[in-house]
Amino acid sequence: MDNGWNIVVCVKQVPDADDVSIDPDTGRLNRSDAEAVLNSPDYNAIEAALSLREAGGGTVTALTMGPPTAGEVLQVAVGMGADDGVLLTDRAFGGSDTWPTSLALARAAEELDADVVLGGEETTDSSTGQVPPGIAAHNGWAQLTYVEELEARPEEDRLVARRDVEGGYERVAAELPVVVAMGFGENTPRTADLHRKIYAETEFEPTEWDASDLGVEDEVGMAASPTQVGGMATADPVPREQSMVDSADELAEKIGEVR
Amino acid sequence: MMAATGDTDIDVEAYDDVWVFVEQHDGEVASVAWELLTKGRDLADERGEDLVALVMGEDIDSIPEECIARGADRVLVADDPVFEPYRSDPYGEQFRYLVEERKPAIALIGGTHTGRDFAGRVAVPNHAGLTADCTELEMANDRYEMRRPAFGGDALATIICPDHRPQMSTVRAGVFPAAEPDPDREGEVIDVEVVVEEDDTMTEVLERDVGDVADITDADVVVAGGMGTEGDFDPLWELADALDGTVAGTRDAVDEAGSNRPDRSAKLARPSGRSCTSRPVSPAPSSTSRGWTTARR
Repeated sequence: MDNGWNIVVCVKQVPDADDVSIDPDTGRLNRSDAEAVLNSPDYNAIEAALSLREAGGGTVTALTMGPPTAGEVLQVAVGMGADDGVLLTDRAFGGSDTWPTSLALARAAEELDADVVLGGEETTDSSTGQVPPGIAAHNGWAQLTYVEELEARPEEDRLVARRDVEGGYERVAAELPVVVAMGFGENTPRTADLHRKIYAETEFEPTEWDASDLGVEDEVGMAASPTQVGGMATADPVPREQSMVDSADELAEKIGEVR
Repeated sequence: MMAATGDTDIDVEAYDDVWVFVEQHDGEVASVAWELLTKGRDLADERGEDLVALVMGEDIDSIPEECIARGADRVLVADDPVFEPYRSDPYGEQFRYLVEERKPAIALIGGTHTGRDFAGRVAVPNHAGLTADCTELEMANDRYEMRRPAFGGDALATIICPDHRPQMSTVRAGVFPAAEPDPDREGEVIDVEVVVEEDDTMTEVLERDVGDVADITDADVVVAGGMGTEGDFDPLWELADALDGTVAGTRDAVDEAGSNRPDRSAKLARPSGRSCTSRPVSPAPSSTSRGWTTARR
């Protein structure tokens, strides 16, 4: 550990906000309509990764899986201060649910000799939160989810996290390598330095790996995904009305009428 | 610990029964577990299978009986100090073993932080299908269908898991009702072999502090404020009083109210830092709705 930890931060390109549609034939998300952005909880993961590097040295490598254009989110991470970026891209990955997705990321994290892997709490397009624990499980590594704060203890080869648990918190020490899912909004992500941002957008080229580079070509994609989308129904819109009330009691009464 | 294997040739016919993970901390069962036992009972009846409750912890005494009263035919108990407090690695390894030995068809897990941490880990080694934040679970079209909100609640996706077992679902608290327990129900309590040793674990809980603040997942009524409150939570407290509810707010709003209102700062500030978080406003899961924190007075 002379040169600090190998820190890998997983990021994902997602459609911006609600600006998405559903493919009527496949029931899958049509990503082409919406602007593609970095999943907002991932900013907290990047910030945590950079803070860890500041505390104990080492390197931060941003890692993503997606189509070739997903390299844009690596640029965001590099602009914020990540040293390098790796893009996992291959048609074979298409249609992967969280099982093969976390497998590919797990193999890449192994390849990068990661000591700490960070990710956001969940993605705004799928909202499962299953990928960070999945990476940890695939590699047989420790996991820490819903993390509020991290404290590096390189002398013990451990990472200590304060985790949010319902009704309170806990502090957990994990042996390396460890996968961390940062809680959304738990830190204040830095803004990109201008020169770094220009470098990220003009000179930086991510390393690209495909499924066979990771040795997972037979274990990814829709065929390797335990879950399938069996249908998609549009939810009935909730009828909404608006009126002004003068007191809390009056409002409570109105709420009581519709509860 | 055991890393995953990718065995895809699964004989789905060999898998039976509906399991419910009964999340407990220090003998206190998460209320969502009772809700899942009620839902699991319906599913098991429809499938003609047994409902099995899974309890892990240390010195578990009355919980198995309550599981039976709440619908379980069998309760699998893994009682060992290694399971208290919860940690994903020993829980995950024990669950992997139990699934391999007993082959459940369906597993229901509460969508708490602990439940989601657990589910994400245990789905991998068994190559199980896992669907997060289900709001409807039913037997339909001769299969188990899991429905969850998608795209911020504008759509409801049906997720199926045809070729893998178990079919796992997480469910948030409050989605399904819990039936009243029936103390006359009969069932079987089985102490299972514990396959994890402390030396094999990769994590250590240094400190755990819970219970100092209301868990808003247990509240029937939550009055929540955001930055629009501009530090003034008085109207929220008034409304909460009128509705017999609990006040919560986004973190920034609670912070602002705490510093701007010193007379009530002790009541509004987060006790011992961050407090419980949940998504009390909508069952539609989304990161953007995260970050609620309970305000106290």
